[in-house]
Amino acid sequence: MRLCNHFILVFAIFTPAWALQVTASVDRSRCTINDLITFKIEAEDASSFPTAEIQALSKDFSIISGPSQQTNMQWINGTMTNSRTMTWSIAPKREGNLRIPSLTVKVGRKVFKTKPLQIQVVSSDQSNNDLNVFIIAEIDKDEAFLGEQITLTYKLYKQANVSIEPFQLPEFTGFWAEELYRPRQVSFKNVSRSGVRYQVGTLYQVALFPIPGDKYVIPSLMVQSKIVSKRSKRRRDPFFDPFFDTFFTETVTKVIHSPEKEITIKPYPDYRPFDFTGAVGQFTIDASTDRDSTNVNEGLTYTINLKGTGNMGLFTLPDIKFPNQLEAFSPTEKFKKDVFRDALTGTMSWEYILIPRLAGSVAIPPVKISYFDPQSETWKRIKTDAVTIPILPGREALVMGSGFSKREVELLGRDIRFIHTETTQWKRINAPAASLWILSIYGMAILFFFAPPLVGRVLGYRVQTAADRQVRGALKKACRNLKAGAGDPFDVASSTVYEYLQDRLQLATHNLYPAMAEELLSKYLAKNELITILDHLKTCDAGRFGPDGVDRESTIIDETIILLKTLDREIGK
Amino acid sequence: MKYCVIFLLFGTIPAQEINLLFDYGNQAFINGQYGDAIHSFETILDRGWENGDLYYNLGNAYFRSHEIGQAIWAYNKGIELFPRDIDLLQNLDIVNSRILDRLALPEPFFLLRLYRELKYTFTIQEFVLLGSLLLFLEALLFMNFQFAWIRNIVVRKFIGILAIVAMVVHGIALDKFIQQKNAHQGIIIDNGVEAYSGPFYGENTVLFRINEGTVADLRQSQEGWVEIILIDGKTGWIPTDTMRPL
Repeated sequence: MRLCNHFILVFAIFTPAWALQVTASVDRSRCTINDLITFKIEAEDASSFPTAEIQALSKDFSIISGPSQQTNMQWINGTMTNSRTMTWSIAPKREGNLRIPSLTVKVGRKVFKTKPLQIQVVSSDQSNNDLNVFIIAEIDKDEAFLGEQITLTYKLYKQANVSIEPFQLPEFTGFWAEELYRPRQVSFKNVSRSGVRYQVGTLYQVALFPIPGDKYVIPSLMVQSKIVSKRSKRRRDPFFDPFFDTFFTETVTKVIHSPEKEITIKPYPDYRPFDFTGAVGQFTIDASTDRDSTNVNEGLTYTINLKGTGNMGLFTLPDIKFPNQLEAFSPTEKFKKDVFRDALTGTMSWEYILIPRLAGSVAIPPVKISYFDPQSETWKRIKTDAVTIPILPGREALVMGSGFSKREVELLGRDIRFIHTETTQWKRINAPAASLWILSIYGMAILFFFAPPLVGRVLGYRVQTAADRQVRGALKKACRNLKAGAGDPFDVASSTVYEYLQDRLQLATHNLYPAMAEELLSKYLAKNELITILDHLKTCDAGRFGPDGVDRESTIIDETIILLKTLDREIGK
Repeated sequence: MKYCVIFLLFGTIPAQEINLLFDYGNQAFINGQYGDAIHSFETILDRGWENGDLYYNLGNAYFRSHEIGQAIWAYNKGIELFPRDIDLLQNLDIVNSRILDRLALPEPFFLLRLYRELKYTFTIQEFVLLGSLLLFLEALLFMNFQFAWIRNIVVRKFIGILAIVAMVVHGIALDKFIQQKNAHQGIIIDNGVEAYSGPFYGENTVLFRINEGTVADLRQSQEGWVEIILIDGKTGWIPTDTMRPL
């Protein structure tokens, strides 16, 4: 007995140390996809509740509710057993053999590992449509461009008296989601679907914008619902009258899934504009300043408003190049959403604070942005108007120029010169290079070129030309030369005669001598006259080079004139 | 030829409407409504009338609405008509400084540069007028010489020089004419135009990107596309609506 007492003592001391154990369990190992599983982690003889990394389950299961804590204390045969239990409701995400992995559980400072559990999930024996409650994910389009809005509506159809628990929204991977409608209380209305009357209520409506990624799947929404069904009458007992059954109804908790849907992403048509920053939809843009003119160093606000429908917030404005005279601060971005619309509509505005640093007129260039219009499947470009603001010199600027020293004209900026308001003459585009005037000048020039032979041809005789004039003027010229002749008279007379002969007979040569002259003149003159001429020429030569004929020096000019006149008459015959 | 003469006689009287449009455009420009100004000036061009002042004002209106490419186009067209207009040259200089792309060629040989300067100082009409007057003078002197009314040796030499000058002037005019006929040029009027290796999007690669205001030679065109050669020799296809032919 003493020994026994000792044993008990030993037990009493040691039992808590090795009796602390942690187990994980599920209430069923086989279920359908619509069922809920209760997952428990029980710690026996623990002084505090176990904590577990329950998120490890989220690969195959979704946690519907929990954890709920429960403490049990039992006295059996004088020994106290004490257990603390954490309970979660989980729902399988897919069919097949699912595994609850080994979890790390902490109780106090001790760390335990639970055993992994296998759960076989079979497909529901009823298809969704046969159920009297189901969820449908409605999308307005199966294929979309990147950035094009897809409106997703989760609708709950029910026949029976079904209440739904608050549900968690799925994660929309591959999309940027903008909540459109989420009712606090789902309101139902009656519809007929395939001939069956249902009550339908919108659970959630969201605008999805595909963002670059590799997978675009509308996730399934999981809602825990309590389906109230009447208890089947098992007993025909007068005491358990069916009347009471109406008060004691049975609720079945089911998890309903909406089917997953895949979205096809259409590629953009080619020729993507260089300034495309991702805007998809229909937009208009305008820009404004808060004042019409400002002073140097006094700021103004330049606002760009982009209105429209589309993936607002998923794109930025292209960089704006402000003129150098303006100091620009980075903009504040605002987005005002229009509510009660199916499509995401609103106004994005960018506010720039600009501070002019120089006086003069300053122009903010137009801001251009390209977007893709998914309705017409075309690229579009919108732009703001250029904004011109006169900037008056500030007060400081006036004080500065008080000195008397002359300065260079200060060049503040370059600008184009003003338009010409007066104009001269209009011209037809592609008028010929040569106008009527020019053509007539050319015509006259050609006429003058061919005038002499043409006149001769038309009038029937040869028109006086330069040669004719030379011939006719030969005697006159010779006489003039003789009379005006200076120097040695013989020399003058001789050269004049030869020159006369050249002109009169149109000779090419300049070297005439008496023998040649005799030969030429023999055609025109009688013998004695020819001799007279030749004698005269010889006399002249003699007078030039020798002392002979000095006596004739005074008369030689007159003699030559008389001689030439006779000669001219003879040749003219 | 007969039709041409009739066209020249009757075609040079613009309708009153053109002047009204011009005045309207000017007024719109003064009021700062550059879009309206552009519209009325372009309407005049659509009606088939042009004028250096019209191109000048159109260029100013485009510049004020920050369409650099279109402004350069207009100024270039204006300079074709009024090659010595100081305002046009000054504004073109300012607008050219706004072009984003810098395409520079090495300075040509100075004689070539002088020739080019001479060539671009006068319009083809002026060259033809000058040439015709020279030829007329030449013919007049030649005729005088034929009839021997003038017999001065200096005049005879002068006729020879005049013949050479007239030939040179006509040569330049011909050069300009051939250049206008053959070399089609265009101005890029859009920013960030991507030049492809072929006239469709398909698998063609983007060769280079040009910005508005750049002058390019046009080689050939395909439906909606045109092949351009930049002055530094780069060649590529761009959509036709990103370019305005000079």
